[in-house]
Amino acid sequence: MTQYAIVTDLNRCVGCMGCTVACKVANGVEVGSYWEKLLRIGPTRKPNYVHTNDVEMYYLPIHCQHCLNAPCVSVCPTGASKKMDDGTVQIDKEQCIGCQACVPACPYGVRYLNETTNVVEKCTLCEQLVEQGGLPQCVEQCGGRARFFGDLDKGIETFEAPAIQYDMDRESADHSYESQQQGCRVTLGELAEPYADSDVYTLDDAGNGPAVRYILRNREWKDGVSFA
Amino acid sequence: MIAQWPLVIASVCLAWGAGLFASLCAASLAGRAPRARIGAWVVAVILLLAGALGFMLRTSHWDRLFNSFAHLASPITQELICLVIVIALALVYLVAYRRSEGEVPAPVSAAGIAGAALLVVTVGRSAIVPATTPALGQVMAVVAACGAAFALGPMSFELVAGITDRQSRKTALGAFSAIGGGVGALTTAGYLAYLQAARSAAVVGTGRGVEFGVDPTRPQASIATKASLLPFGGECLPLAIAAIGCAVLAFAFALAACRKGVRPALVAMALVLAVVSFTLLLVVFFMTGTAGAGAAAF
Repeated sequence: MTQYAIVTDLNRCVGCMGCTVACKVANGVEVGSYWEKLLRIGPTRKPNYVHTNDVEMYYLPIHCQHCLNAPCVSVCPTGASKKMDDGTVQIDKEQCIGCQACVPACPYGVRYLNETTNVVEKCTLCEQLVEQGGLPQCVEQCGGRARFFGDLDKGIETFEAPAIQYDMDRESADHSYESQQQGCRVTLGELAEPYADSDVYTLDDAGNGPAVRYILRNREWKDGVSFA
Repeated sequence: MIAQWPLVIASVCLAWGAGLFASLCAASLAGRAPRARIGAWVVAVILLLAGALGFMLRTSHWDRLFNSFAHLASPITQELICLVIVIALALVYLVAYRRSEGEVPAPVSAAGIAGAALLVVTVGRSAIVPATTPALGQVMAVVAACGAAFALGPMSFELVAGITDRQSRKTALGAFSAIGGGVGALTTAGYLAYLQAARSAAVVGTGRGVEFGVDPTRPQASIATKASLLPFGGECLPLAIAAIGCAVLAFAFALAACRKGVRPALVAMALVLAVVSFTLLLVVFFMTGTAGAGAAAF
């Protein structure tokens, strides 16, 4: 069984919003809809707060969590929202009637009605790219190399992100980007700083089982982050 | 989140129409208020069709409307199927009424009551977004919907009976409008109390919730306080109190109508208050957020 997901190392995330922009560009997301958005959590006082400098914060990218028991799939009257074999939740736009029952059903507020096509849309984990062996654009374009994509069933250490390596043959006549890029990948296990199991979090779970993971070290994870 | 008004209005109309149709069938079984039946039937069908229209207006692709019956496990699909069944039962009732000159056979009336009850259960399940609500919350939501229908149905029937039979000084359904009003008040208060307790016990109450943050997509939206997730906290407090207050007043007016004989004005007042109460209950649910974990909202 496959469960594709994304893990974000929040200690690496710099809040550049490259993920948000990349998603908008890659998927043609409408103005006002945010398949991927970045929240800033904090600044909040550290447990040992004494001085005003004793504060901490982190950035939190939010998108469809591709839940194991997705409530949007349960409530959809047409079956347009489906849990696919690869573990992602996708919307069949030919079946969707735009009733928006799934919009309040989602605990994370990541579904939006496209007012042009009148169907509901959300993060697809760039299935059109993943099918061809690529990576979701938010992972591909992450400015801090904080996001990794893979199969949750194989462990988050195996999740991958781009690792650009170049053929540094400067004598070659062909200096194009395409000829130099080797298209390598790096895994979370190879790149990330050590973390404990207690450093791995999910968004609030109301029984829906969000698949997306977040790593946060040396800061207090704030529960109750959501989205109206 | 903001109230989903098409869903709220459709749910109120469906519960109201189902309650009235069940009351009509109950009156037929008991042989009460023969003059009020056809009028009650018309009002019930109008309410049911209004609920259906509310759902249709919510969808954006009318050409695919019948896709709504595809996913049988969806509470909304179940609600639509029950609605179709109840409308069919209403038509059967009308045919039986005309054929038997007002004396509808008991099986038809019994089927009408059962169908209406089933519709109200599905309204409760679909209106309160069960997917992210704890199991007890789903049960409480169904109870709240049934309580509202039990209040709205008999009160509506009494009003129609009061208008169509001004000579009578007896209530059409005995004390059922008052009993229904009492049940409605209890279920309204009970559901809001449950929501308060459940949300208070949720993560946001542990002190680890978000204290400060920014959503760049809505930079001017302030972070919701913990109180805003509770029905009796924040901006929902007056609405929650109004919901209970209206339900109690509806019960009081219905009780007065029962004791003083049929007074359309008293019953109408009770009915209006009961409608407002159920509407506010649904609005409070949406405004406090639909996530079962009771999360903070930017």
